[in-house]
Amino acid sequence: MSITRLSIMSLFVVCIMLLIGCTKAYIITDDLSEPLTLNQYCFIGAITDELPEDFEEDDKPTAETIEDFKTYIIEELSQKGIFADFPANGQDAPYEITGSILDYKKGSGFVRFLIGFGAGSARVTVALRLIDTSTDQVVFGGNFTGNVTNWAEEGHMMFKRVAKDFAKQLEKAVEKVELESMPTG
Amino acid sequence: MTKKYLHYYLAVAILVIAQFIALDACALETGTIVTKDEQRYENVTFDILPVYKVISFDYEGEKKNLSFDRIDVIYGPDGSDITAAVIGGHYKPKKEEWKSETDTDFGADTKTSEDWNYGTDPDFKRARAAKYSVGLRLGGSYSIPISDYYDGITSGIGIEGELLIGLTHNMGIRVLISKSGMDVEDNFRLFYSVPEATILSEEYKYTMIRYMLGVQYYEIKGQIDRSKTMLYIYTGLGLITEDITATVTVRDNLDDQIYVLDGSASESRFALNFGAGLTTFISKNVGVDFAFSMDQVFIPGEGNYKSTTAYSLDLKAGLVLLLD
Repeated sequence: MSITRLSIMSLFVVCIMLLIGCTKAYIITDDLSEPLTLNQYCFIGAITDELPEDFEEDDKPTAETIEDFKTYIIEELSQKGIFADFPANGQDAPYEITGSILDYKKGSGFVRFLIGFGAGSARVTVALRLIDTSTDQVVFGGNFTGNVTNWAEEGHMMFKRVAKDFAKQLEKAVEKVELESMPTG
Repeated sequence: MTKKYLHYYLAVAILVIAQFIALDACALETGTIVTKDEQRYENVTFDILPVYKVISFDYEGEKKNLSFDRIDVIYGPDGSDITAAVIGGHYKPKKEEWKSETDTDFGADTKTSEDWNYGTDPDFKRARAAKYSVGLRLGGSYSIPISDYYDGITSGIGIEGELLIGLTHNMGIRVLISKSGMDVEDNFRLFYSVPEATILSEEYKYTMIRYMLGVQYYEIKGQIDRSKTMLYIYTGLGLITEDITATVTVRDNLDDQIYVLDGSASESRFALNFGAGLTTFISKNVGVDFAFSMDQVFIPGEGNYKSTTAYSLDLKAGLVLLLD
């Protein structure tokens, strides 16, 4: 294979990898370094408003939307079997999940239906963190994005996607750390 | 590079460039980052990833991704505070305060709704029903003519469609197109037999089409995803087009020839309307709608006929689809 062809193929592969990287729905900010104590309680704590100061109040998610988001987090994490339960109050829960809404666009299902091609799409960017309440340290966290571009989907699907990605990445991190901590030989 | 693969590489290159333009991923800055838990990263060169709201940099051989909301301040190389320029307005601490869609609780203290300074009182938690962005209404209406102008015209059921555009939490725009069900009475007659001709049959058809643009005031009571009702009143103006077609079959008594004569007349009128209604939602976005409206049609004078005003009443039912 000539050097020219090899360079071009390498550029092609790099471009594909960049494309894949650019379209990932999350970025991990705090990777799990120690194994979690499994089957403990986890409290779903505050999801704060960290939207820009000039963000219109009417365009922010509502309290009901945030409550639904917390429900989705519980549903997705319940399927992973990492935590025993999710108590309604935070007392005595060794772990807590908190979050911040960093970006939000409600979108319009009607515009998605009528125009398509990404018009009226809904999106959200959320920072989610798992905190060890005994040390008050973040043990796992990331920023997750959710999008709805399809007219057939309702806007709340973007929060479901974020919850799903968070649960999936936490599960992967837990498995990875457990594997690494297993004695070798 | 062979021409065979050239177009593939060009397409990928265009896609990558478009992605970077869209994501603005190559924004490199240098500065000192201080986090809210007082960690300090001196003189680091960082990438700003606006899609994820993250700053990414290498520190002591490790890749660090810092979420915007964990950053307290960023100092530029000259020591100036460049936080706002880098991460916009995310860096001020916020609380978990989200407006409820339907919360009508003005607080447990002695303040009444009149005491609250709407919009400026920081403790004010005003109830806000979720407004809609657009909606569609399809339904039928029973139109009743109620003035002398409509002599010979009877009530009937028509169809209509409306586009609803939400402007604020209480105001919206309505665009209506409807075909009225009013029609000519069965015993309506314009012609009578004469010695020279016998009227064998007469058929008349009356069609009224409305094109109306209006504004509405609405209140949505109830919670999203639970039972919800929208009450509204509206007023508008527009155009009403009226068509009358007549088909008359006549026998010429002189030669026994039968003739079919047809003719039509069409007029457009300026009209005002007002109405009110109630929509009961059966799901988050779909509701059953009941309303009434009154049209006021202005008929200009012509010849010996003076100008007049005609009225009709519509009783409506339909389905509404509201979208956020």
